[in-house]
Amino acid sequence: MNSDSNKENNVKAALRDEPAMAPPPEIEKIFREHHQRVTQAAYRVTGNSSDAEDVLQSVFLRLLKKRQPPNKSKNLGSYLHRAAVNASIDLLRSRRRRKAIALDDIVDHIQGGKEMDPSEQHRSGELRDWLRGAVSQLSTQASEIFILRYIEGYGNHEIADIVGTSPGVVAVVLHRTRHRLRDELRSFLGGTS
Amino acid sequence: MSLEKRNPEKLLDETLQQISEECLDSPQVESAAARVWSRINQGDVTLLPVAAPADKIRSCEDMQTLIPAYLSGTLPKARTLLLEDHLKECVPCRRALRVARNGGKQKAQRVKVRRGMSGKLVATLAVAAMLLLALGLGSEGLLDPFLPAPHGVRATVERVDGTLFRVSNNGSIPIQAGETLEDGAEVRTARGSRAILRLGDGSLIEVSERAELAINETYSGKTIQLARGNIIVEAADQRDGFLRVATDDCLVSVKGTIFSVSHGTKGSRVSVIEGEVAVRKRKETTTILAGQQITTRASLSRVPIAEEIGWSLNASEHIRLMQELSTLQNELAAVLRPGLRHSSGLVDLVPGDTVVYLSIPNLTDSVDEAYQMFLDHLNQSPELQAWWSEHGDEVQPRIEEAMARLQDFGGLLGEEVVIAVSMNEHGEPEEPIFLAQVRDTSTFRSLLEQEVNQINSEIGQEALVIVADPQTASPAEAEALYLYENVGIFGASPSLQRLSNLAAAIDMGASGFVGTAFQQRLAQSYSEGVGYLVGVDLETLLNEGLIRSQAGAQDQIAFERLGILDARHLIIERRPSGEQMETRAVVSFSGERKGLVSWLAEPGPMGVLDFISADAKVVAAFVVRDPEQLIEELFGFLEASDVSALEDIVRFQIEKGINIQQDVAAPFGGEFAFAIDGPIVPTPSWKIVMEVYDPSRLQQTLEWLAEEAAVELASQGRVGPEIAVQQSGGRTYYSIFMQDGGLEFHYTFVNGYLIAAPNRVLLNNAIEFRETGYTLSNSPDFQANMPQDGRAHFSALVYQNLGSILEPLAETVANRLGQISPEDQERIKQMAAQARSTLMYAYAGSDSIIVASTGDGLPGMDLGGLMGLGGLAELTRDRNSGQRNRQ
Repeated sequence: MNSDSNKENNVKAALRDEPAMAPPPEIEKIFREHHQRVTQAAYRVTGNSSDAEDVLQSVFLRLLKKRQPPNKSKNLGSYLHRAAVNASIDLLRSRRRRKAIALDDIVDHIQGGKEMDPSEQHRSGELRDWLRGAVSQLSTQASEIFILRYIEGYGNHEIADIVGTSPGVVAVVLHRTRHRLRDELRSFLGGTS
Repeated sequence: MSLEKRNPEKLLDETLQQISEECLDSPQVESAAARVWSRINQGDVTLLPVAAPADKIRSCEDMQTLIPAYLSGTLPKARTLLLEDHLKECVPCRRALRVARNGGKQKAQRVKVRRGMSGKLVATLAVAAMLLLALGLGSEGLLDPFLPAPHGVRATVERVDGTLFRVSNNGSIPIQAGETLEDGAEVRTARGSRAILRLGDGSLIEVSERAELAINETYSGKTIQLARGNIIVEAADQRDGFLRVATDDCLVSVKGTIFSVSHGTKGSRVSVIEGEVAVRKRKETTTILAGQQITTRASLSRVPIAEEIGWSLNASEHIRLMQELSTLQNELAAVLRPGLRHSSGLVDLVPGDTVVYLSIPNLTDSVDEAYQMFLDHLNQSPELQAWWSEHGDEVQPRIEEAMARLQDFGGLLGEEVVIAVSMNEHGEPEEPIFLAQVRDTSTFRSLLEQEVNQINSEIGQEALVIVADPQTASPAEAEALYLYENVGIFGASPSLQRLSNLAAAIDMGASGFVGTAFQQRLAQSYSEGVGYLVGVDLETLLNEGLIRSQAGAQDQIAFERLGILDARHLIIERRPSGEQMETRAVVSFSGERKGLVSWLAEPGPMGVLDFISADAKVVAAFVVRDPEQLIEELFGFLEASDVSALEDIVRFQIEKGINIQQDVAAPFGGEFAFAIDGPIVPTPSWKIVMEVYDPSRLQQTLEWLAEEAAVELASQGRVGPEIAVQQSGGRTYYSIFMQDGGLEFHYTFVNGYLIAAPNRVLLNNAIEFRETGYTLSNSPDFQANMPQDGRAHFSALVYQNLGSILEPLAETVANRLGQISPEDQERIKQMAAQARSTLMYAYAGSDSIIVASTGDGLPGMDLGGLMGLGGLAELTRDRNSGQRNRQ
């Protein structure tokens, strides 16, 4: 049990906030270049702007805490993109638990639909909400891969690179996830009609 | 249209599309970014909220409380990491996870149970276990085991060397020779002790050291419950009941035989010294014969029976008996070899529509000679005499009588018996006809009449009917076998019509069979010399059969794609060739081989064999035509026979982004080999060698497969295989292993070949064999099995030289077991030396496939054994049951 408590302490230590420190200039550069991408991705996944703001902050805080920030590798963009997606999923999960829906959300729903009558618009907002919730219930890997593919529009090969697996695994995960979500949607529709 | 009525697939896509199009205005983004950056700058920040504060995690119970959240994906990342890490090293928690995944409740109770089972629970479990045990043992006679025989003595202690304990809750009490054991009494032998128990029916149980057993008796029989250890049972003839040995993983049933059962932590091993034993493990029952052995688990390897019974007081007698029997078996086989027949007076008389033709040599003289030889052996060998006096005395008069009858009849018959089967208009087999030539017709007739009368009166009905003229005879009331003899030709058939046709053929001098392609093929076999001969007219059977049975067009196309419709004849011949028996099966085709039957390539050099040493125990190798084309043809066949299966494959390929033809088949060349080459223990030294044209592509595919398996296993909560790469001595070695330790193997690419083996030493050995020329083709044993014909190559071969394992093993055993006398050691070695190697091989010609074998060492290991009459009997039975089903 001793080793377990040690491990837990390590994990907790990693999560504890560190004393304030001015961010190094290269982080500022990265922030300038990539904040748009991160915020938009977070907005798409979480579906509201204040969550997107939280995610942006969270992603860059984590970046700061890394002892060796990913140097100007060409994959920095997709690294941050992935980080944004993951942080958003985490947020969706915790928010789901809190069951709190911000005022923003309602506004966002209304902004969402374009050429629909009001009731359709309302339903489609409900659907997007449902989908976000359903995705957040998936396993970490599945939700990440699913979002990168269908919301963020990456190809299987790119996702495989980003997540560090093979295109085959990506294809399998996507297939299963789609299948599962489709079934859940069917029962969701059955339940709400 | 309302949402509910829309296709969920489409709706999902639309929703995803909407989400992916959502975006914040640029000013919104910029203002959010400005706020975030200023907070970061001032250090006025916290990370995203994680889960609600959780209790401290101190124990496995605490860990297991996290599982539901973990499964629903709501467990915070830190906790997830912690739990996943813990799961890797904690079996009970992994089990709890598995249970929770399968919909079971979180096992808080399980933890409690482990802390101390309640008395009630223990009692329930015990009752359940007893019920299960009783059911498992009793399914042969479901209620029998519940009907115990009257209480009483079950066994007497015949002899004790050392200490034998009677075990009970009150402790262990030593017992002496002469004492009795009542029903269910548990006994245990001490270290270094042995004991012999005698059952009421005279059966003897010899018990090794540290063995524990109890004997139960019910009305239907006796069961020896072997908890652990080795026993040898010399079962007396069980008249009505049975004698069984039960371990926790198998049930052995016998009726008068000698066998040994060894049961330990890894499972059970049953060896038969003499007679026949049925072993049931889980749901399957296997019958094993003298000299054979079976184990209940793969991890428990077989050992030479001599080693298995080496501890026995009677080891040397058992071993000598086994040796005598195996020598006798070999000598009898030699005597029973038929001479070759170069012509037949019967082949021209079989029905014109014959599709199956069997010719069996009349072995009466040989059988008689064999019997005399057996009696000689019996007189010379005290072991055999002892065995025979125990088991054979009763049957000897019956054997003598059977031999006399065989002599009477067989002596009057010609040199072969022919059985012919035709096909009726529905494509089903008709009643067969038996044909034989008669040497002395008048003696034969009177003998036949005498026998028929005797048999009919014994049975009490007219089962055998002698007909003078089948063309005018009227059929018997009940089913009967009609017998007919004319001008030295004897025929028998359940169908009067068949005999009537025979009579016509005898008058004409020939039947309608003469001149058919099948008859010509059989005549060709006769001209080359025939021992045992089986001929099947595949052309008629398949084509006519297909048409007559009104198979659908779909089936026809499928058969055509298989290439089977082009098959003409199957000829199986077994005849002596030099000192050995050779069995050869030829399938000929009416044109060039097509479809799946053309997969086997024409004989070619097998470079794969260069990686296999001269000491290999078992080798299987074959050459195929272009593997890529094979897959294409397979798809073609599926297209015709099972479109949905093909669709599944295509979908699979698209989903997984793999092309089976390109990624899996194309990298391979045409040669494949599998071998057991090296030590058998602790891990059998297997090896696979394959010709590879494109190693890098194959490697890619393998990696993909490993990942695919990982995903699949991950969904079951298991860790998948991993491929590790290592460079050494200028060579790249790959290892695939399962994290949970189940599987591990290594492979490397050498000069266009892939070699795979359970460890790297074997890989290096294989490469060395090739470099030093110490290869299978140079093995004297392998060479001795080479058929004497003009061909240099094979299309496929299966070679076994298990004697080469037995010999060194026998030596080790002999050295290790001090109890075995030098003479016995010598005997064991002799027996091992007598186990001969065999070779089965195939030549694929452009319009035929020939499968043949040489060597008649171990029973069942050659083609003759595999395609023996037992198999034919099975086939007939299947057909009959098929017919019944159709009706």
